[in-house]
Amino acid sequence: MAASLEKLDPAEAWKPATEDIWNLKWAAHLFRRAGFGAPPFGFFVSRTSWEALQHAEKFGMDECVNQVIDGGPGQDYFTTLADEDTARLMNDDTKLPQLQGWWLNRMLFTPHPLVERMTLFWHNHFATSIAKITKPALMLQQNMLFRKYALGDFRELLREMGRNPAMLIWLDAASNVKGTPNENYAREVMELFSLGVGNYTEQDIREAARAFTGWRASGRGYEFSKGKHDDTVKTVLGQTGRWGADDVARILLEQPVAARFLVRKLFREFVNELEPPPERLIDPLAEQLRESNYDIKQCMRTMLRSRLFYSEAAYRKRIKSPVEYVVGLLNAFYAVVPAEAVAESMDGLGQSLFAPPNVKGWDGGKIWLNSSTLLGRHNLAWRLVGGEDVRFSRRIDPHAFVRTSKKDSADEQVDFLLNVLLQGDVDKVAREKLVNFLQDGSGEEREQESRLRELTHTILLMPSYQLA
Amino acid sequence: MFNRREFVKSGLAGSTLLAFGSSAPGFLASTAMAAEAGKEKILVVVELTGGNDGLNTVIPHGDDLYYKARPKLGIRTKEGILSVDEHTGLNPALQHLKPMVDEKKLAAVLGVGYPNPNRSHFESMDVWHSADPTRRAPNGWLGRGMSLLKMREGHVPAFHISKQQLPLALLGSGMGIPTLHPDKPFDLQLAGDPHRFQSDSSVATDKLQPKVSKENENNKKRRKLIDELASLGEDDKNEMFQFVRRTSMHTYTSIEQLREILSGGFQKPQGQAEYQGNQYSYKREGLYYELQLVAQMIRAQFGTRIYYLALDGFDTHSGQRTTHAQLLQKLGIAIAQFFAQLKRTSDEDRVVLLTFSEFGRRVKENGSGTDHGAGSSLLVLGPAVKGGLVGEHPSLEPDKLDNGDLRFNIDFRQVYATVLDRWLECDSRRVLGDAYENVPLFA
Repeated sequence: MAASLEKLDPAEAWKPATEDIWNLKWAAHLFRRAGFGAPPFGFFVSRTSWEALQHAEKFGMDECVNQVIDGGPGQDYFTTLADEDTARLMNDDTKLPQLQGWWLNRMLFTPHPLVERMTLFWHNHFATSIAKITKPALMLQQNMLFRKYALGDFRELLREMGRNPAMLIWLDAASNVKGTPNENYAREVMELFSLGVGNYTEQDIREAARAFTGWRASGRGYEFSKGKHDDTVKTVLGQTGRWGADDVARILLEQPVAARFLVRKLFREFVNELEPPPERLIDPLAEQLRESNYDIKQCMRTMLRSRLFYSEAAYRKRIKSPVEYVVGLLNAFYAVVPAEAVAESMDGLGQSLFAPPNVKGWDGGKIWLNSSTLLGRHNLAWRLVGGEDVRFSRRIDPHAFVRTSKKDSADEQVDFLLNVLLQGDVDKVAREKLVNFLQDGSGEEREQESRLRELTHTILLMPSYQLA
Repeated sequence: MFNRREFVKSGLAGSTLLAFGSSAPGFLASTAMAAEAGKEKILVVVELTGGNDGLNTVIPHGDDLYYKARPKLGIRTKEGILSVDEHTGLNPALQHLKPMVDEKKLAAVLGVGYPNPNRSHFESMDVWHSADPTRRAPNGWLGRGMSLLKMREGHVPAFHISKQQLPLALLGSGMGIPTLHPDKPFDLQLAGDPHRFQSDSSVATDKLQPKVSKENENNKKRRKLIDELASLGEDDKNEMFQFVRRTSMHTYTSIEQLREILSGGFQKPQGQAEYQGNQYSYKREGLYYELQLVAQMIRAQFGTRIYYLALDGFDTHSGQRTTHAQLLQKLGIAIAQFFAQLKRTSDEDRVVLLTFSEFGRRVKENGSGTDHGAGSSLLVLGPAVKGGLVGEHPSLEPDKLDNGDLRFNIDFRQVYATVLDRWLECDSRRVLGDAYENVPLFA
């Protein structure tokens, strides 16, 4: 396929899209990207995800983007409930599936899914794994910090990372002391958290490492020891002074390349992960980000309202991450399932929350799918909708779901499911085959129920359903 | 032993390969350069992820500068260094490899690296995978080599045994390379499916035998439908869609293949015995188990030429002494037991194992660990290998270091070229884009 992004006019691309293009397809696209599939509970008064999507179509683009950016009704109530759960788990006996289930629940029930999406983005950006931290409470605490700054001021978030206990442990702050600096944090903060490779020198890393000396994790907090801090002069990216951790964070984000690095990453996460965008397409957003003092919310508003976002250059140009796939699937059925059991079942899909493979996080894109992870998805999908696993069987019932549509013929039922799950992005031949499969049964109630489970599973395995 | 020829016939008949004709996934070898069954030479690559400290793996214990740079981390001879020559030896944690050292089946290649070393994990790992220090190659050395290998028709050229993502090294063949999760079913699980590749070790092997006659008719239909739906949409212009479509087709084809092989009396290995409480339990994960799985696949006469595995955790910025010893011990036991198993089935002569890491570590220790470095050592093992040291240990003189890191004497592409030319028997120039002087790895 031609490099479509190359042809775009940057001046046009980020202008707001016009209301007249708004339809079901773009509504679903927005909710897949800025959330986890269907519009969340409570966004619109609706009994099913299908009704919610239809409401979204009626409400229009402006209203939907605003809800996505600012959150829907009931946020305070949700926060109160969710914070109780957080407090309960804030101890070191908490098991990993409990933590993961806690987060999946937030993704499923939040009235502000973009916050959870961005929390996941930051978790991947500042990728820290429980494998080394070993203290669940610190992972939870770091996760709450990501949530606090999800759509906030990135300068603050980067500064906070320099004293975040989980991060301090993750990149060996304790052994970074005056006289024997440890370069781990200094290198990754430049390479992965702010500038990107090629935008600093080995000497910058060595100097910055000295500026970061003296910090260490202590209990749920941190300690700064003046005696262990190297207070001498350092030169980092051309600026010379007796720099400490906060100074380096400031210097990093003063580099024009820092805003471009971040926008590039957001672009890949929310717009298109197939092609790297040309520099000139990134520049206007990077400039806006710098001028707004790294206001992530403003940047996201521009991105999610843009002509580019509602164009073929963005549509289905991402692969759903395992988390997007699973939460999206559950959302489509408005399923209330034990999240911890879901978390346990997600092992082997290639995205274990709180346990990214390394400090670079999950690469995403095509890397999500290989023969093993694809089968992992397929088999989890069957576990969730197949009706054989008692933890999920009664809570996800495609038959009952289809009945809400009051459609009786096989054609109409297939169309209903395809609309809900794929908004009609289906080959005609594929549709025919699905209809034939559904008609192939005896029509008895019992058999019809398992047929619809099998049909749903088949749709969830289709290549287009893997795309976000 | 089941009949290999029958398998190929039935395996292909049942797979999507024939059903889709020209749009068949390029998953299986279909080359005219057929290899002889049971005679293929096999390369096993073990990636040591995180930057293995080469200096503490192959130790220049005869050099005082080593102990000067490593007052805390330096390994003393009295700790039991395994001598390779009078100045150099292996870390004592690799003691399980001593028989291979003594039998000259282990080559330690010294001072391996590349010009203008990149000290980022991810950049340098890509350099090693793509065999391109300029980072322009979009694919990997093994992937590019794969299409030049002698293969038996209908066989899978390479397997990636891992819980992790497919490595760049294996991309570029135009064929989909299957990843086998060491601990998950490699099959599509449908209702009450008798074909499940059970991961649960407590299930007796007789229960793994498929009851083919009872294959649920409905499941067969579902499989067929799923296959067919994945094959539709050939004209779709969205490259992302095409990628998923291809991956799905490759996966379904490899399921069919493996199901046949696994039903042919294949037994998953037992796993590593661990004494817990007052009884042994068997650990079915980690490099040991994965290499045992490879040994079983080789024994089952898979025509596969390349296996790719990894051991993670080598980024020892702090607390290196314990961590590094534990990792090397895991590595040593896994490799020693792998070759022991191959010996039992007389397959050892046709297997060579290569380790590598994205970089070595800084010569001077940083307290309790070491920061990212450059030049390093790597190991090549197998009966076909000419044992001993290959190359010179780079100087530890401070003014001969590159920013505190070891300089390299041997370009890593020389090692690749030697393995490609001498072991896999394919022209390294076509893979590496240039001729690299071979190093004396093979007799």
